[in-house]
Amino acid sequence: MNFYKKIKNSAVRNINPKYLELISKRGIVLSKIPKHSSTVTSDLFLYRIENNWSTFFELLNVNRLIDNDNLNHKIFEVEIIFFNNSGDLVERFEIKNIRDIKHRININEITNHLNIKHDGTFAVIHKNPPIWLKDYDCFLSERGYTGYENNFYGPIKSYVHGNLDAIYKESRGDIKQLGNFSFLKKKYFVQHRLLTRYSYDFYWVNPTNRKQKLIIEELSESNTIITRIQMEPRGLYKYSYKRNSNKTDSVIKIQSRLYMARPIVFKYMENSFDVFHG
Amino acid sequence: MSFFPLFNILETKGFCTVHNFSPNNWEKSHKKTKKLWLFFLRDNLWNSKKIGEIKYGDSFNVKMENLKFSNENIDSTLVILQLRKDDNVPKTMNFLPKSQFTFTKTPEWRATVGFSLGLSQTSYQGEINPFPEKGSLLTFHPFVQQVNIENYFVFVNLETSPIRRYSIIEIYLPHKKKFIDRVKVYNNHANIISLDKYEFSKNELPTFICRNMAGIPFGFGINRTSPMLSLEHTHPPASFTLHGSRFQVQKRIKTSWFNKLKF
Repeated sequence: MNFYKKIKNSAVRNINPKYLELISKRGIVLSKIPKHSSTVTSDLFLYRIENNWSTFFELLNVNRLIDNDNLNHKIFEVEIIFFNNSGDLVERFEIKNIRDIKHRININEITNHLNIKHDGTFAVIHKNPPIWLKDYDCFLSERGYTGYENNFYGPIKSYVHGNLDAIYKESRGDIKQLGNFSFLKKKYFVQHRLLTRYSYDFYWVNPTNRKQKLIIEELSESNTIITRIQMEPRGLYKYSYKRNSNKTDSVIKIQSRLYMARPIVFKYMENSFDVFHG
Repeated sequence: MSFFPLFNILETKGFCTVHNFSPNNWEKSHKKTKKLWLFFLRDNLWNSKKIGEIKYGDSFNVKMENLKFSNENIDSTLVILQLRKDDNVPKTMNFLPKSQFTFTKTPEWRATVGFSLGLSQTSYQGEINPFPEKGSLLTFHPFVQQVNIENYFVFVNLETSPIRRYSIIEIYLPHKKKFIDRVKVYNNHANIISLDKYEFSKNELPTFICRNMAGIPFGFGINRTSPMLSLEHTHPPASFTLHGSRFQVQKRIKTSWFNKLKF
């Protein structure tokens, strides 16, 4: 690691990111650096199980993909941690002795088993990450692929990748949030135009350790609809846009202290749906 | 942000909605009307065409099916769009023009890049920057679906040079170190590889290697009985890690797999 990177890394570790931002916008760091080198991080992935939705997770043996010389990584195990939409930890579930390099997890089977009834989020924590990652000051991160399916639309899954570095698990087992936020209000515009012939659901997750207030503005030529919400740490919020031919096309703007209030978007068409990062 | 891609996949109709508004308010961006230019390949040259202006705050939807290229054939399925200040871009060029604006990085300034089939659409928020000619690809592809779904691997390459070249994508099953196939792919092109003939099972992880061309890899699925499309890109290996020297880790991972997987 070069000298500049070492200085930056040290500053990010030791100075509150909010102060770094005051020095320079280039100093903005979206996620914290965990203290321990063997820490594993994960996105908070949305699971949908209500209203005939099914959720699948394409679990990869990332240890083996990273460290293919090490025979210890031929079999792997993960812990899946479920949270409700208020951010409370609901259940933990371990999958051991996975021999496949990829394992499709049916999240509904697990939530049924754990008697979880409502949509929420889950994290995937891999065990025994490659030791040499610490030589590069890197942490193993799960940003995998979640597939959504609804019988109403047929058997095809629509996938979205993770990229919200949301939580990490400490060696004692505590779960901590990774997301940084600002002193200053930020605006995020979803660069996608909502068409009046379709309906949409937007999902936001709070990856920080503080409650976050969001002002969601649905902006069209004819009017502006403002919704104010609060999200608990690790909490989930859903905002719905209903198709209406009397409306004009809209865009969504979010004001918050999050650097990137980026939602997952579900778009519903006549006989199909699509999911993507906003 | 430099360019936005526009292409068809099979019989689906490609579209690209370019937005003239920034995704955030805290990185510098140009808040004025911009010109929308189209670039396409013909006779080993980049050809340009202005297709409109977008006021600040507006969007512009371009459909592949509506583009007319003066009744002449173009050399690639991929055309690209760029927001610019000027009205005068040379008609033909040996290199793609550089961006004239400072754009956001968190996230990148993106367009809605999508595909339609009947009443169904799928899209992603995306942009494309030209890849270096010495780039390479290693990606693990987890999107193969089994029941009545057609599966494709889509590899989109863009380079600044319009000179046609090709490379080979090698397909493996990494857990068995098993070679599956090799397929010719072209630069500045949306390359589409059908996967169903390989009969991958749900817990197999087809892996794609291209040793001398980089690009954006996608998984694309079609259900024809109840028409619906599925599209998502896969990550580069750097995404398995957070912070630190991720790209050095990526180099180590790529080198290791490139040495292990050979046909």
